[in-house]
Amino acid sequence: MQTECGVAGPGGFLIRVGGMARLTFRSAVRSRLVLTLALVLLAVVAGLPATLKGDGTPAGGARVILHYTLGLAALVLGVVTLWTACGAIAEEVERKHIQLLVSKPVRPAEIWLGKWLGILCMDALFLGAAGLAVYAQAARYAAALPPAARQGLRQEVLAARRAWRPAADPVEETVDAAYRSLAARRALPPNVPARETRAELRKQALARFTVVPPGTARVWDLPASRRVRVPAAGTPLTLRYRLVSTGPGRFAAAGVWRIGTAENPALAEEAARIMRAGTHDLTFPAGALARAAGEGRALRIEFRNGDAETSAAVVFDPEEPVRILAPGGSFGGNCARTVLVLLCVMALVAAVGLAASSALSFPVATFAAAAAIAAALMIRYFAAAAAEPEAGHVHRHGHAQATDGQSAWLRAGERVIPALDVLVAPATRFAPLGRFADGVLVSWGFLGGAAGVLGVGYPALLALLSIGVLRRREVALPA
Amino acid sequence: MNRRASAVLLGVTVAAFALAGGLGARLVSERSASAPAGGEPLDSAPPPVVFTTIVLGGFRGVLADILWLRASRLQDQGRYFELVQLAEWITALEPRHTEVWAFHAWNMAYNASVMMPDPEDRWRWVQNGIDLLRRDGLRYNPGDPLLYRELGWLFQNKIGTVNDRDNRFYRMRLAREMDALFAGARPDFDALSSNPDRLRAMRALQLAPGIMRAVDARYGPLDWRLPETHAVYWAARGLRHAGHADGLMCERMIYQSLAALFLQGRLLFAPERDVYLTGPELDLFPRIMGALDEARERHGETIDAACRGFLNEAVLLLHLFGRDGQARAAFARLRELYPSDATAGGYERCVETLLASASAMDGPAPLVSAVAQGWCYRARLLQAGGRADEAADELRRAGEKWNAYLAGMPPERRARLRLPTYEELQQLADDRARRELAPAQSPPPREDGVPPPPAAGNPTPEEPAP
Amino acid sequence: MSAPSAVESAAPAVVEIRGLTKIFRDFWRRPKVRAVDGLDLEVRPGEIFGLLGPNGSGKTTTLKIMLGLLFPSGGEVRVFGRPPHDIATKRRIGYLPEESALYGYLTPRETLDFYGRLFALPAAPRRERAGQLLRMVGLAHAAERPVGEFSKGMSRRIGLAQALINDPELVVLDEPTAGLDPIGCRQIKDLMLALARRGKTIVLSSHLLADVEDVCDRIVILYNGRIRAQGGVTDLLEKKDLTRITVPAVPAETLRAVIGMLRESTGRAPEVEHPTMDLEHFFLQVVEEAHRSSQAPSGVGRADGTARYLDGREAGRGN
Repeated sequence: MQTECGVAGPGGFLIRVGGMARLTFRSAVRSRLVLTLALVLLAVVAGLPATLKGDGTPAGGARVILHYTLGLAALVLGVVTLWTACGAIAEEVERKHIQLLVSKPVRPAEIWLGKWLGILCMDALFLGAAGLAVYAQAARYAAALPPAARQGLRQEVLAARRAWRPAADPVEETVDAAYRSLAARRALPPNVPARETRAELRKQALARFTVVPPGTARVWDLPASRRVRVPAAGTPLTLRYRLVSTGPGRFAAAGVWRIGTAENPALAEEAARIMRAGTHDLTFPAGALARAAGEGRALRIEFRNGDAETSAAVVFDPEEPVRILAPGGSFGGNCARTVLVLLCVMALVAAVGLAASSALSFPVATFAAAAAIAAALMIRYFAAAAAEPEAGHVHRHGHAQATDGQSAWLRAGERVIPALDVLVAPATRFAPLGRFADGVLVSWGFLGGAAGVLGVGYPALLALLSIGVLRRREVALPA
Repeated sequence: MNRRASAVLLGVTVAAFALAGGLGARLVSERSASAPAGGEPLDSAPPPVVFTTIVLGGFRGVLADILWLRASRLQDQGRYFELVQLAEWITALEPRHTEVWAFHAWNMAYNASVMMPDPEDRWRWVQNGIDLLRRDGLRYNPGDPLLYRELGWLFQNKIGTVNDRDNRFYRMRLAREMDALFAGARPDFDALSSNPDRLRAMRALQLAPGIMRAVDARYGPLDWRLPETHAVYWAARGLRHAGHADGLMCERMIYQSLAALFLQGRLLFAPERDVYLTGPELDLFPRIMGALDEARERHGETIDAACRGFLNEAVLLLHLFGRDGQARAAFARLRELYPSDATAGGYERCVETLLASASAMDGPAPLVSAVAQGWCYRARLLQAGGRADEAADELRRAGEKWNAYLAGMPPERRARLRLPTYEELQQLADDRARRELAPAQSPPPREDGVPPPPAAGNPTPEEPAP
Repeated sequence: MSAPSAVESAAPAVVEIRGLTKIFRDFWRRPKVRAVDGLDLEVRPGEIFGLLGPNGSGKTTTLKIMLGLLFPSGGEVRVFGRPPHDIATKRRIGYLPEESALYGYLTPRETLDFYGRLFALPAAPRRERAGQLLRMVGLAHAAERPVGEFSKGMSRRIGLAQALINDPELVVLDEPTAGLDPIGCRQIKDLMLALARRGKTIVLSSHLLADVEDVCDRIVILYNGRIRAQGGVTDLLEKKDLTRITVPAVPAETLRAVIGMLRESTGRAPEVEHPTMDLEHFFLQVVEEAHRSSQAPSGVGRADGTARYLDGREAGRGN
C-alpha cells in the first residue's frame, strides 16, 4: 500500500530545502531580537554618517563614511547572523521542534542547507538595504560639496578604480639561482642550515628589488591590459606607491616619477618629495598616457631617485610597490559588488554558527562560534610573528634557556599556529571594505573568489562537518 | 547534578561573591587613592559615552585596544583619514586616561601632520590634535592639569618652535584666526559681553574671557595671536588644578613661553601682504621676573638655569633697546641671585661681555634676531639723539653682520626659520621707534599692546572698528 | 483502495522490534537509566496498537526509537522492513509527539504548509490538504492566528493535523488524548477508528486506559521497560468466568423467575442492577444538545468529519 504523492528527485529536494529556508527566514524575521538588531542596523546606516569625523578633507570624510557605515552595518549583521545561526539548530533541539523534523523525510543535509539559505535570505535583505542606504548617503555627501570637490571625490573615492600592477618581482627565482650558483662554486657557508642561507639570500634579493638608493632608478613594467578603460577626458590616472622606509634619519627623499610606454618612457612626468614611508598617491593628467593605457599598451613606470645631496634611499614595499589606478567601473556597481562580497562573508559566518549549533546548545554554540571567529581573525598576527625570521631567531635563543615544558608548548604552538593559519588564510583574503572606501574596484573576479571561497568552499566543509554530527546525534535525548 | 554537588557549588559561589565584595571595596579605595581623576564619577560625559561605558563594562578596554591596533596599522600604511574618528572613539572608551588623550593628540599633531606634503593639510592635522584635547578631552577631564599642559605644549612646541618645516605657516594661520576673532591682538574684554557672536566663537575654542583677562593682567601685555600666549593661557589654566609636581610643569611652560615672548612677543602682522614679523616684547620683563620668582619660591633650584638664562638675555636686550634702568635692575637681580665672575665686574663689564658674545651670533635664532633688531633700534635712538653719523655706522655694521648671518645659514634652515630680512629689521625698528619714542601719541602698551599704524612706507593692517 | 483485514497475519509486520534495549547515559557516558529492556513486539498492518504503562515505563522511548529520534543501545527495530532512519520509511509515517513542538510564530496554515513541504508535496495538494485538515480538527476559523497563542488542546489538534498531512500508512501517536477535552478525545478516537477502517496502521501510547480500551485491537503493557502483558484487548479484558445479560427492563416476576433459574444452574445468586451510561457518553450527549441550541464553544470550532483525502472520498485518489 503506497500513498506516496510527494515530488521525487531534485524537485522534492528543492521543495524541502525551500520549506526549511522559508521557515528559518520567517523565524528570523519574526524574532524580536533580530528585529531589534535590524533596527540598530538601520539606525547605524542612517545616523552614523552624521556623527563620523573624517580628517577634514572631502575625500577623507567620504572614505570614513563609506568604510564605517557599511563596516558597522556588516558587523551588526554579522552578530545577528551568528546569533541566528547558532540558534537555528540548537533552538530546534532545545524546543523539541527537531523531534518532529527528524521524523519527517528530510535529510540532515537538507535541514542544514535550508537553515543556511534562510539566514542568507535575511542577510541579503538587510545588506541590500544597507547598501542602498550607504549609496544614498554617499550621494548626499557628494551633493553637499562644491562642484570642484565633488568632481575630485567622484574620481577618487566615489569611483571604482582598477589597480594595474606590475608582475611580481622574481624574488624566489633569484634566490634559487643564487643558491645554485653558490652550490656550484662550493661557496655555501659551512655549518649553516640551507634554510638560513636561503633566508639570507632572500634578504639580499629583496633589497635588490626594493631599495632605490639616491642617484639610481627602478623600472616596473605593467603588462598590457585590455581591462583598463580609456579614461574620459580630464580623468586623471593615479600612481599609488608604497614605501616601507625612506632613507636613514629623518631626511626626505626627492625624485621623479615617469610613466610611459617602452618606446616613449616619459609620456608623463612628475616630481615627488617623499616625506616618509607609507602609501602615496600621485596624479597624472590623462592625455597621451590614458590613450596608451586605453589602447591596451604595456606601460612602464620609472622612479628616478634624486642625487645623494638632495635625497635619501627609499625602500619600496615588496608586496605592492607601485600600481596605477585607472577607471574600472561605476561606483554603484562597486557598491553592489561590495555588498555581495559581504554577503559571502555572512555566508561563512552563518556556516560557522550552524556548525556550532548542530553540535552544541545555544549559548555554548554562540560562545564557541564567536571565539572561533575571533581566533581565526587573530591567528594571522601570531603566524606573522612566528614567521618573522628575526623573531624566530629570538625565539630559538629563548628556547635554550626555557624549561623543557615551556619549549614543548612553544614548539607545539609553532607547528600548530602556521597550520591553522594556512587553514584560515584564504578566508581572511576577502576584505572588500578597504577597497570600496578607497574607490578601488571590487572586481567580478574578486567577488567570484569570495563567492567560491567564503560562499561555497568553507561553508561546504562546515556543512559536511555539521551533517556528520547531525546524523550521529540523538535529537530526543531527555534533558 | 545531585544535591551534594549543588550544595558545594552554591557554597563556592557564595564564597567567591564574598571574596569579590571584600576585594571590591579595597580595589575602589586603592583606585581612588592612586588615581584621583579616575575615581570620580564621570559627570560631564555625554550620554553615548556613559552608555558605552556601562554597556561594554570591562570590554571597553579590549575594544579600545582593537581600535588602537587598527589606527596604528592604518598609520603604518600611510592611511590617515580614519585617524580622527578612531582617536575620538578610543578616547571616548577610555575617557579618564590622560595619557590616551595626550597620545592621540600628539600623534595627530606631530606624526600625521608631518606626513602631509601640503602645509594646509599639515595645519589641519595640528588642528585635529588640538581639537581632540580642547573639544573633548577637557569636557571629560576638566580638572586634569596634564591635559592643559599637553594642550599648551602643542601651541608652545608644535606651532611655536621651528621643529616643524611649516611652523611659520602655522603661526600665520593661528594669528589670522585670532586676529579675526579678537579684531586685533586681544579681545576688548570690557566690550565682550555685548558681542555674543564673539563670545560664542571664543567658547568653542575654550577661551574663557575671565581667565584670559586674568592671565593678561598677570603676565601681560600679551599678544593673543602668538602661540606662546596660548601656551601661557593653557598652562595657567592647568595650574589652577595642579598639585606640586604637575604645577612645576605648568609653571615651567608659563615662564618658558613668557621668555620666548620676551624675545619675540611683539608682532607685526599683515596677512594680506604675508607680513608676520616678531620682535622682543620688553614690557614683559617685570612679569616674567615675577613668574620666575614665584616658581623659584615653590620649586627652588630646579628653576635656576632658566632664571639665570633669562636674566642674562634681559640685561643684554634691555640695554640694547635703551632701557638702561630696567637693564640695571635685571643685572642687580642677576648679581644677587647668581653671583659669578661675569657679575663681579659690575654692570658695564657684564653688558660688555654679553654684547661681545652676542656679536658672535651663535645663539638661538630668536635671540640673534632680537639682538640684531636691538642694533637697528639703537641706530634710531642715536639718530633721535642727533648723532646721525654714529647711527649710520651702527646700521651699516648691523646690516653687514645680519646679512652675513643669513648667508652663512644652510638654505633649508633659512627657509624654515624665515628670519626677517635686513629691510624687515628696519621696518620693525621703525615701528618700535614710532611707538616708544613718542609715547604721548600712542596709548600705553599695557592697555592696548597693538602697535599703532606705522609710516606710509610700511603700513600694518587697519584696525577694524570694534 | 481495499483495506486489508486487521488480522491478516500473513502480511509483513509494519513494525518489528526484537530485543530492543535503550540505555541513557550521562555526560561521562556512564549508564544512568535503562529505559527499555529487551523489548520484542510486532505491529501488524491495519491494526491499532496500544503501548500502555505508567509514566517512565519506556513507551515514549520505544516510539522515538521507532521514529529514528533515538538510537537503540541493543536489539533491532524495523519499520516497513527497513531501519527507522530510512528516508523512504519516514515518508509513510505520521507522528504526533507527546508535547506538540510547534513553531509559535507560524499560523496553523503555515505550519501545515511547512510540514507538507518536508514531504515534497506540490503546492496544490498541500493547500488542499491543509484546508481539509484544518476543517477536520475544527481550527479552520483560527487558521491565520499564530500557533503560539493557542491553548494546549488547540495545539494538540494542529499536531494531529500535521501528522496526517502526508496521508501516512503508519500513524504514531504519543499520548494522543493528553490535554484534550472529552469531545476532542472522542473525535481523536473516532478518527483513529476511521483511519483503521481505511487500512492505516496506528501505534499509540497512553497511560489513560479508557483511550486504549475503546479503540485498540492489541495492547502491550510496559513496566520499567519490559513487557508485562500483551494481547488483544478483548482477550485481555474478557472475564471468562462471568456472563452479563442485558435485557430491556422486565417485570419483577419475570426477573425473580430468571434469577431462580440462574441460581439453580450456577449455585450462586446473580447480581442485578440497572446499567448506567458512562460519563463520557453522558458528557458528549449534554454538549451535543447544548450545541444544537447555541453556538460552538470558543477556541475549537466544530469538527467537520474526517478530511476527505483520508476517507478516500477524494476523486482520483487512491491506488
